[in-house]
Amino acid sequence: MSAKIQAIIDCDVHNTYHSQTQLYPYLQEPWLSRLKERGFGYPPETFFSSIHPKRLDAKPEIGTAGSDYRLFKEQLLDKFSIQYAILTGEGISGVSYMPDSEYPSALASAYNQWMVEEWLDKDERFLGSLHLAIQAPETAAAEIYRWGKHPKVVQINLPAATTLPLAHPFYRPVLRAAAEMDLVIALHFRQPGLSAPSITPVGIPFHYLDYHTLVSLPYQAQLVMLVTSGVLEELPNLKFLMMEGGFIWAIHLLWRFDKEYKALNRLAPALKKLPSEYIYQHFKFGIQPIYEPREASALQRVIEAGELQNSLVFGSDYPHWDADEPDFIRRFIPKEWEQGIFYDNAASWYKFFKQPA
Amino acid sequence: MKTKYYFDELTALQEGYFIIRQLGNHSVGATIHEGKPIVLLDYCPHAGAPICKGKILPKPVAMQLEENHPVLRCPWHGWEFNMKSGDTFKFHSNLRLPKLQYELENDSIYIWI
Repeated sequence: MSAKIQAIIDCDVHNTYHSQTQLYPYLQEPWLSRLKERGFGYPPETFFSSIHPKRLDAKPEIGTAGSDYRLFKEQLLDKFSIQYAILTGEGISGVSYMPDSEYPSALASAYNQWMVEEWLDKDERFLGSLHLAIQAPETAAAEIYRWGKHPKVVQINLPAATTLPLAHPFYRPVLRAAAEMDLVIALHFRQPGLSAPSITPVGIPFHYLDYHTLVSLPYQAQLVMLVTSGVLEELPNLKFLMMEGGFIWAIHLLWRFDKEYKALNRLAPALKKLPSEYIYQHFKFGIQPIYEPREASALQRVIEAGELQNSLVFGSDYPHWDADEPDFIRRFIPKEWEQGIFYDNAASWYKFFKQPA
Repeated sequence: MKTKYYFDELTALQEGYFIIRQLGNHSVGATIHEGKPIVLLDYCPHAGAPICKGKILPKPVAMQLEENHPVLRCPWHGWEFNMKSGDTFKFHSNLRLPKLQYELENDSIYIWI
């Protein structure tokens, strides 16, 4: 392995609270009492895993992995050349999978304020992303406008599987607000609960092995309908980041989608170019968890076949069990792609890195 | 060029978990099973995790647990290695636990790295 990479943007760093009490100052009644008495109430982990959900060496003395800034600094920020780390939260993403809307919206809002006030100032390398209860799209949009001008808030997080396609008009206020505020929309899978659809069209996975292998399915469905709906023409500033859902399936879409479109384009009259062109323009994909083919160089050939070198970004997923360190990912990609995948591709996506006009 | 380091006394080793010592630039872990020390470089051959912070578990064979064949589960990606043979458990890989040779001198453990 050659020398360290000069600079890295880590697009997926899971910070969290060590206790629900940390959100108390940011909640009003009646939601404060509900949190105190009944807890968050978002769905617990649905699928049985046979191993730890988070890296065992990332557990601080108090609280859960991801709640202690000192460990972030030691195990991630200072260990590598992390120039910027985008905080993506953790349990709070469950707010979108709760059956009601007001309490989850209040929790999301409390989380966002806590994240901005208590995390972004801890370290100049941190950038923030918002959590939203998308079952209440107008409230979620208001939350995006509330924080969208903050220079270090660069992204919103949405669950990959949703009750309706994200391209459905129901969610348009959320997409419009993100486009107007120049925030990236990151899709990240999340264990489902009562109000969430299954990630597969054949019912509920048996356990975590099935689930974690199949998580790419909702990303594919979202991408196709975001393209055909014409919303990318309506809101040309939409930028999506498909985190942790893999990317080899994008090649299937790039080739199959264009082929279908040549025959069936009357069904998508708003489009002005081939579907593959929208994919390259509006979507980026997280490279973690890295594919580990028997022969490491096979991955390079696949990426080249899909011309996806400039569509991949690095997210470590620290401190989750399947997190990948930069040097591990480097074993699978050629050196000449490192600058793009570890920095430039992400820098081109986030408002924070734009030169002032 | 290998260097000889003092690790600890044999009596410091415990079944079921590793004690970890920093020896020069290397983190080294040791545990004991059936009276024999097992000494590892604290570095998973898969992706570089501090593997000695992983869990030592009995190996599941068919529907039984074999207490006398412990496996070590990596604290990151969950790969499991046979602690006696050092090879991966349940699937083939050329990767092995990074076992280190040790010497006992009057119940003191010495390691060459």
